[in-house]
Amino acid sequence: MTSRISRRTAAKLLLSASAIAALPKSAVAKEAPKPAGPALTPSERQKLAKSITQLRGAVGKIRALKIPMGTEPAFVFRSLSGKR
Amino acid sequence: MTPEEALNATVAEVAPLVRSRALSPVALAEASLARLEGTGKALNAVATLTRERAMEEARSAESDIAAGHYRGPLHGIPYGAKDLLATRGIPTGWGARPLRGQTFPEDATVIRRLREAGAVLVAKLAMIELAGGLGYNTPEASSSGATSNPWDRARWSCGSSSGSGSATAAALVGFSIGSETWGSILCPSAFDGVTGLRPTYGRVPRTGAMALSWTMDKIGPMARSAEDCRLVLEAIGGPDPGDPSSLTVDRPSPPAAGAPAPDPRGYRVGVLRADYGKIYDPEVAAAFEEAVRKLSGLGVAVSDATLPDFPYDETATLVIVVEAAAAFEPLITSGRVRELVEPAARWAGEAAKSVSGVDYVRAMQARRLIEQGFEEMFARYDFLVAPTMPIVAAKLTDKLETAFAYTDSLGSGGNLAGLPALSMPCGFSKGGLPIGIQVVGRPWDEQRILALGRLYQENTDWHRRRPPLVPPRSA
Repeated sequence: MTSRISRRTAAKLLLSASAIAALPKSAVAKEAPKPAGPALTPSERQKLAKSITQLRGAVGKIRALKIPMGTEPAFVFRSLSGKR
Repeated sequence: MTPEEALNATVAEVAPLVRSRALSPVALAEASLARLEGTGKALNAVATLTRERAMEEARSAESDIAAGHYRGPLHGIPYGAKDLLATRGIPTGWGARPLRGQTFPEDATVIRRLREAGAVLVAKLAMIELAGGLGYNTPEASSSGATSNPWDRARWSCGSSSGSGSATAAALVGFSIGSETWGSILCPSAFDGVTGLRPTYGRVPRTGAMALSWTMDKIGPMARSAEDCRLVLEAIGGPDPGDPSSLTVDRPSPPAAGAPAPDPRGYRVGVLRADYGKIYDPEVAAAFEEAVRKLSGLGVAVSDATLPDFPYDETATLVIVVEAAAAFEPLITSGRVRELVEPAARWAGEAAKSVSGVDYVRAMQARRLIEQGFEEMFARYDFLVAPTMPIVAAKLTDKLETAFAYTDSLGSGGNLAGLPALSMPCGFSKGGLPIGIQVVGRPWDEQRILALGRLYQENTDWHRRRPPLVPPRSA
């Protein structure tokens, strides 16, 4: 079954940070990612949880940093055409 | 000078002898291969000996020089390359058990350029698996096992360019090539007592090199003097269409060959002593202070400096974790990460997925602020100096999360901002382990960094010391 997205919902998708929440439920459920590779053992899961906690700590420190709006990320994109 | 003695000398010293045919490239290659087979294997510094190719390149160098076609100071010099640089038909296993025997159809650009300069590839050198891209907590995390430090075989050579540091220090090769994403050239240079250059991001093309973090990976020379690093950089640096990062348009042109080196006297050097009392081994601190006094005595203007407050280590961690998980996705999804030595690699991919796209972009925004912070620092100073590592070489049995439990703001920040850095020996501990000083400069300022390094090394002899297991040079 497909469901149509109204113009208002589409606008929400473009403008809202919670775009996933606006998707039809079935679309989200069907696309649930499979875990990569063989399943982790319970002890490995514990260590994974610890790693995630450490990464969240790092994320938290960066979130706490005052980054002026409009700060360009340090990506360098270069068009390859004409350079080869 | 015999070929064995020549292996203990610098490239700059050996090159005129090769040019004048007082030293034979074939004899040099044979001496290097013999030492790699003996000492190199004892140190676990070698991934693959490239005997056949080495002898072919050495014979070619010998006949070219005899015919009057001398190509420059690397002609006929044996070297080793970290095993993440592709070499046509020779295994390039990235230090990883699941990739043992992997081969590529073409040489990496750096290898091709060295071949064109006449250098002789004698070995692919050991490295930490995937250059540590999916994490590692022990020196054993390599398909070839832990690489020993030639100054004390119970100690680690550091990683991830483990074999490059160890083989260069033990004079098994004339110089080597390493790579750095965060610390992988500088740490082995400090622990092993060699001179290593981390070039500006984009200076040396990575075409044909393993990718760990596209926005942070750099390739550079590890040698026995700053001058040797300069000679190697001249050969391997410069734009390459295969690596967009090397095509930066605002790159200043390198000085013309034969141009006089800049005079570093009068340069303003900022000395970083953050967290000194807390994390630095007192012997490291003492050797570093002596090096700073030496620089001051040589006419360099020295003053204290402090890095601006940023979450340097956290930003570098997020960028690397996310990019490495993408780089090694095929290994992760196939489950072959389970063949790696490091158990944490098994869940590294899952852990990386916990970082959202927004958080990655925020980290890259933080990185821009960090870059701007360094730019402001370099308005006040020409260079920043600090001990390369706050500790001497770790033991082979050490857990690295304990041995390396300190912040590394200059290392993480310098790599995030793509800054060039030179590490050179500046002393030894009472136990005979090398201590290094790092000189960090503005992007593209390698020439002045190397000039400062050369001035320091012309007035000290730390870089001339060789580990005890290596036969000493005769006078």
